[in-house]
Amino acid sequence: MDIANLIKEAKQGSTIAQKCLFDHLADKMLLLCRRYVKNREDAEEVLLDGFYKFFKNLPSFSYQGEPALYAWLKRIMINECLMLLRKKNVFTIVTDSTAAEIYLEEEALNNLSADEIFNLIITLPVGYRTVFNLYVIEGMEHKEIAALTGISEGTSKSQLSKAKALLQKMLSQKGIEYVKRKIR
Amino acid sequence: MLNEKYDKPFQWKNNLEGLDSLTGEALPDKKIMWEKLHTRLQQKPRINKAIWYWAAAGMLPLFLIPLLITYRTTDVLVKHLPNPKQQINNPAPALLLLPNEPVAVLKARHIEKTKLVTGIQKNKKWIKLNDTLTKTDAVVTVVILDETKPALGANSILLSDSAFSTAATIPVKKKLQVVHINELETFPVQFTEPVNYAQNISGIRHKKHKTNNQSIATQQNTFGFKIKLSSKN
Repeated sequence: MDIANLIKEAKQGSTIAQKCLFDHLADKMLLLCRRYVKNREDAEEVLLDGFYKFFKNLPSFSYQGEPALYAWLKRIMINECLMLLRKKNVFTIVTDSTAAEIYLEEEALNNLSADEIFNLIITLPVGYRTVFNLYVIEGMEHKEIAALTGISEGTSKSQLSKAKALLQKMLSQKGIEYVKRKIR
Repeated sequence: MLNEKYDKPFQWKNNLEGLDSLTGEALPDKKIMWEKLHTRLQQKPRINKAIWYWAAAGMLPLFLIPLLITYRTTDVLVKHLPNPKQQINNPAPALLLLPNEPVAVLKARHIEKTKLVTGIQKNKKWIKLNDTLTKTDAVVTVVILDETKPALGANSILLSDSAFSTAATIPVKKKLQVVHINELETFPVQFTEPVNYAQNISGIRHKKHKTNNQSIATQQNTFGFKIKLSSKN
């Protein structure tokens, strides 16, 4: 599938090209949305909102390869997810800046399948899950997360450390013996 | 070797990113989702309501400022209106118009139409300047007229029912019956003084007995004096 051509035609308003792009990207994006928004119906709604914005803003997008397109669409979807979460007031988190920094043994996660990791992440509480997704998976800084979610940097850090601690606990409960909890 | 070590911590992330579907979970119906999305894409973009709210807010001063200016001007004109007492004593010209001042108009509810209204032109009624008002307890309407219009300043003034006129009522004056002093002597005057009042004037009670058979006018003068004494207490 030639993504560049599809993008070009979709920019010109071709419905078929738009549908092809949607079919190609929808599954991945839906799972991305579900990592932030646990509820499937909400995730589907967010997906549609995200694709709507994607197609509306496509004429202003200059295609520079599939990773760039994917990163842009991912950013749109994450923003939509955060908007929904903000609407639901899930970020009313009590500030706790005294959280200990917890090191997550990522090698333990490497031994898990993608499904298992996904299920572990979505079982985290919404605040932990959002900060974990943004910091660990998307690679954002705490300052950026604070700006996006409306919480303080300290809260972001504490939420992350709690998320990591909870993940460690869940991993150890799964019987993975080599996962060691280290508190630096 | 080094690359393998470097890449290994991110392996689970790549696995997660590459995940297309979850095992044991039904795939989403993309056809239905696309139809929903396509319908939304075909719809005309919704006009942002906020733009209209801001536009309305911007237009508001344009309406308010003329209203405020009009209101203040009429307020000043009301102060220049002749004293109602003077009108009662001398009701005959309804208005005095000064040539170089904005025109203030009195409008009476009970104006005799045959005398006052000389012409009707598009909801505007004209009256002559020297015409009289039949009742002084009339509704006063102040109308701001353009000084530059000579037609209004010379011999006629405008009676207007338009929205920009401001109405104020003059308090109704009770007309007392005029009785000659000699007529009062035929009626014996019965006066009972109030209790508190009597206490205050107890020191000068003897004066009252003297004036008991006098006329009301005389009594009023006497009691007026007594009231002054009580107010000092």
